[in-house]
Amino acid sequence: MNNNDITGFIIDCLTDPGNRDKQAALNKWLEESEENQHLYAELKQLWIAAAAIPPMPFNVDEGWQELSEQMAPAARVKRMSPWKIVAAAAVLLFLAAGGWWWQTSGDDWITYATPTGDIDSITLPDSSMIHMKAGTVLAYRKLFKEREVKLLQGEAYFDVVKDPQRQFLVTADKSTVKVLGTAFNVRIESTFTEVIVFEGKISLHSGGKKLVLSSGSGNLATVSRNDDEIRHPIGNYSNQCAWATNDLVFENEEAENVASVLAAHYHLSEVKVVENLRHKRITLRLHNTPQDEALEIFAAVLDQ
Amino acid sequence: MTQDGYHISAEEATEALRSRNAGVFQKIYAAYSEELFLLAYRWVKDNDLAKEVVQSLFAHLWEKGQQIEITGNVRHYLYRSVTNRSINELKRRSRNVSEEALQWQADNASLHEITDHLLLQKEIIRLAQGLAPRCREIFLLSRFEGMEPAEIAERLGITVNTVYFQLAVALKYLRNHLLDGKKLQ
Repeated sequence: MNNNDITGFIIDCLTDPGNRDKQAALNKWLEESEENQHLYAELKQLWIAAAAIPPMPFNVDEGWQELSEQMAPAARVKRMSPWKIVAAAAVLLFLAAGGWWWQTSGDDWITYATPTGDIDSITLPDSSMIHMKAGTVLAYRKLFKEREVKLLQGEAYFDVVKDPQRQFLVTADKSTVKVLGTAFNVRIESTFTEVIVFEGKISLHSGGKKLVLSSGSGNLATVSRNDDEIRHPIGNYSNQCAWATNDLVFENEEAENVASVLAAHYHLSEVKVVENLRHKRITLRLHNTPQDEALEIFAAVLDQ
Repeated sequence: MTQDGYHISAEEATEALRSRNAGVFQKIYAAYSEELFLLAYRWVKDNDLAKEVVQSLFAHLWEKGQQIEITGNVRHYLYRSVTNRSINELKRRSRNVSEEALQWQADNASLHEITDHLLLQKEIIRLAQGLAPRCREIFLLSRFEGMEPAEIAERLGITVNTVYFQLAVALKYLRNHLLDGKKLQ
């Protein structure tokens, strides 16, 4: 067994303690060496500690802010100015920390900013998911009776839970996307906003115009910041959502193009294709596939 | 493995409360509030109530600071206070108080043990942020939300094998990154 198999095997035993066969296999493995016993003890400790963690994170900065509002009147008697400093420090802190929720005062919007440097995701109160690239900022309704999200900056992929009674609105700059249940990607650039539909159908509204976008060919539209013009090029752009979906689909595409998409997705400088196969057309679907496996599949399909 | 970035003696803490030193008070809050929340959650099993217990403890410390004398280890003092408050809140709401909470004696051995446990949880929360999105989601659903692998597979429309694979990836990542590869325990 390699290391991954062992961890998977241990998890299997931890989640299924009543299974005698698994427990017997586990005991046998534990008897093999002291090292195994250490590994098991550590993973079990982690597994159990993680299980008792509350589902919602505790936000220290937000907590302090709330507390300091209660404290303020008493503090003001003695020291006015230091309190302002503390308040300012608290605001700076929560901006710097990122990746946490905070609520705009007196309003129903919750703003969320990704921690720098990494893709992040959140689950909304209706169970819809949002994946965000680093540097993304968005806001959503706290109670989420109205399913409304504002993309303020960056790029986000929305996986919207179907609810025929309540539409789901995403506003990004001057564009509004209306959906009932689907998955799509929205990106704000300095001169335009781009929407790609990965699954289902959405309607895009901007400057009084409306465009219905469906997944598959023709699933991308851009809205220009200057003139609100909607552009709708041909082609299937689903693979541009792969950063969030881990889903790469190539239909009858040239090997050379497939190789460059794979290289970009797995952060490789190059995926090599032998000269005489560059223009060979291949069809390939990769879902959540680890890099090595993906490259193996690619090579096999290509017959190189 | 006890590692906390902030040390304050009982005398300093008591003095800060007496003199209403907001800067020191904020440092105490920043250093301990999250683990106090985790401890309160352990007893009350309720996010909002756990937060309320922590907030009311700190509000109390600030308001009644003149009359409070902290002795011994500040962290342990806060752990005891938050446990007492949790039990009182449960009783007040006629909720079931677990045998564990009632039995939990604030002796030194249990205090050290629970400190290690809470700090490990804090590390897990921090490190989980570094997991790849899908992996993190599956890990959070399994551990923080308590879902079975089969339920997760159904909810996300993936195979149970993928769930096990991602959980193994998450667990390995956490183990490798915890305390920069130092041994647990």
